[in-house]
Amino acid sequence: MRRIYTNHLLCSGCRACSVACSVVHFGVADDARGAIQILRDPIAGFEYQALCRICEDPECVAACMAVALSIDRETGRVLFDRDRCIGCAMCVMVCPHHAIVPDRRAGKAIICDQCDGREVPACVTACSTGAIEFIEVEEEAGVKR
Amino acid sequence: MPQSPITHYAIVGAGTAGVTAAEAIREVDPSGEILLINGEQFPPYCRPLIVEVLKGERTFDQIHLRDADWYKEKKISLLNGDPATKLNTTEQTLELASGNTVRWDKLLVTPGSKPAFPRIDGLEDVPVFTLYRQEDVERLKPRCKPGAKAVLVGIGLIGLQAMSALREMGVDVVAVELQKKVLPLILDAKAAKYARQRIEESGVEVQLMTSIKKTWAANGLKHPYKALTSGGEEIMFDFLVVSTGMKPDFSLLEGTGIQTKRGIKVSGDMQTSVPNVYAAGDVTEYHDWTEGRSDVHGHWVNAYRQGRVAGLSMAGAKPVPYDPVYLNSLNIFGLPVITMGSSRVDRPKNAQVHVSDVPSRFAYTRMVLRDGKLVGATFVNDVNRAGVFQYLMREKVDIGDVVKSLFNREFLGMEFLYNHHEKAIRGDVEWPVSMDLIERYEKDQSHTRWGAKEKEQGNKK
Ligand SMILES: Cc1cc2nc3c(=O)[nH]c(=O)nc-3n(C[C@H](O)[C@H](O)[C@H](O)COP(=O)(O)OP(=O)(O)OC[C@H]3O[C@@H](n4cnc5c(N)ncnc54)[C@H](O)[C@@H]3O)c2cc1C
Repeated sequence: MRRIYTNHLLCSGCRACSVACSVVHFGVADDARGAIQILRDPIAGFEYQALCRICEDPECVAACMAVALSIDRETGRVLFDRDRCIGCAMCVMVCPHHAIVPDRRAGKAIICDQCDGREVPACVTACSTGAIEFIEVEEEAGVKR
Repeated sequence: MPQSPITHYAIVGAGTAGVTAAEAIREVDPSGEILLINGEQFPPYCRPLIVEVLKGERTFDQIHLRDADWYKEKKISLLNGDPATKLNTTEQTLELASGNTVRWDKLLVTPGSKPAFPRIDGLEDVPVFTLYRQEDVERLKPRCKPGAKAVLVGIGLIGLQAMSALREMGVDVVAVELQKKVLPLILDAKAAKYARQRIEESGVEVQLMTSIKKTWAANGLKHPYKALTSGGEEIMFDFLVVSTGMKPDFSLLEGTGIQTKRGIKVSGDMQTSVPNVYAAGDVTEYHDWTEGRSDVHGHWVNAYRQGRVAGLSMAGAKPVPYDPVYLNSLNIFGLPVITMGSSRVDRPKNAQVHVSDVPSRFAYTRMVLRDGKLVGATFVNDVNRAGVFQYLMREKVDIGDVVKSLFNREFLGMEFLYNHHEKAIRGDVEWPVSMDLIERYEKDQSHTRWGAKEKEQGNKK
């Protein structure tokens, strides 16, 4: 399966990725509604790319009391059923990667789905500095979690 | 190959702990027989979401834990509406309400908890409701008419959810709480002040340090019942909601030798003191290292995690034990609040407290550190970063030196976070680096200011 990786040294903090993500998923250009967020630390000059890193034992899945999140046992990916989400922010509370965005207006979580259905995720295409890559990783045989 | 005998697993209670355990057993043991005994008529559901059903935002059919097909697919025999009535741990049997007896090799008890009732004279003479299972919602919902008046006893986690549902349906609410702050088990005084303000703005009348002494039918009035508070006030009402906490359900344990104190005592792999009997979820007590004592802090994440560990170890795997931390995410009439660990103590001993408070924005963050480690955290309104701190707390990372910077909105400590997750972020990617970019950003990293030249370069890019 393929994974999204990022390199902070190459990130200019332009947020084109977040905008592209929100366009593809919600039809609006709103960086605050992107499943990838660039968190800028202005003093250290550091750009942190916050997005789902597909944990081995995802805490968000354990925390989701609406069972809107589940694990795709084949790929290890976290699946999100937006209709079931009640916006309780339990997932936000436990995500170690700062990767889940509470969309307070919609009362739903925003979570990366690797642009399911697109060959290359929108954020990867939108990045002009090469800071986001979509790479094939070797699968541990028969991932069971 | 000789066939190994089939193991008979029985699970009493089909909440999240029970269902997660069944799933985990099946992952390890493809052939064992799994009997999931659900004491409720209604198939297993997401318990906290009954509040959404009460509000009318979901129907019961939308809050199932799993669809009906899932149980078939996993070959889990689900028995709805047939509670276990007697447990015999020497014979390894269970008697069910239907009269059937079940034999088991491995048993998991996940009966959850039951509401604790306060002592109130005449409680049996007035309509009293609790809010913890499907039936409660079916009973309560028809009462929730605009203009009806409810007395709510106990402003804890369930009380809060009950009152927000009641307000949404136009019910007038008088809420009393014995302690001197709302949500006393999770909020410090300042956070509780914000919470109380929000609750009162919604129209709920809050009375702290107050209990209900007596209730009675007082016919012929606008609201047919009356309650007497400890402050001597008489309140008219239509129904009363009790939300004074939950206590573990021990009703099946009598004479079994299963050791309990506040909750069932369990080992790291969720075994009770009786061989082949496991327990998980709200019924157990655990060592809360953030508070340095054992207690029952039932919450969803714990029930799920413990259920999973129990299921895996029942089926013979060696799961990593789960070390629980008390976690809560709540919504106080639109104000998001997250708490973790020991967040309720106002003046914790041997600990430093760091606070950031922006009253104009209702934004309040509080962190409690002991020996450099985070043992308690509260996020009011500004909750997005909570997960990072949950991670730092759970991993017991020493953040004593960086706490100030992690705390500050202007300096998020992202580099610190990056260092903790480097592999997941960068992967083993051969980064197609453009050298001039790298140089530019490395310069930026070393805190030098951008000169005119760099700016020009940057503009050209
Ligand atoms: C209204 C409400 C809101 C909540 N909100 C939150 C929240 O926002 N966040 C959070 O973390 N937690 C919340 N909780 C707590 C959360 O629901 C529990 O921590 C969790 O459901 C515990 O799971 P469990 O499997 O241990 O027990 P339960 O879900 O209580 O399941 C136990 C089941 O066992 C059954 N049972 C008992 N005895 C028997 C028997 N003898 N035979 C057969 N069956 C039996 C019970 O009827 C019940 O169905 C909330 C709870 C309530 C009631």
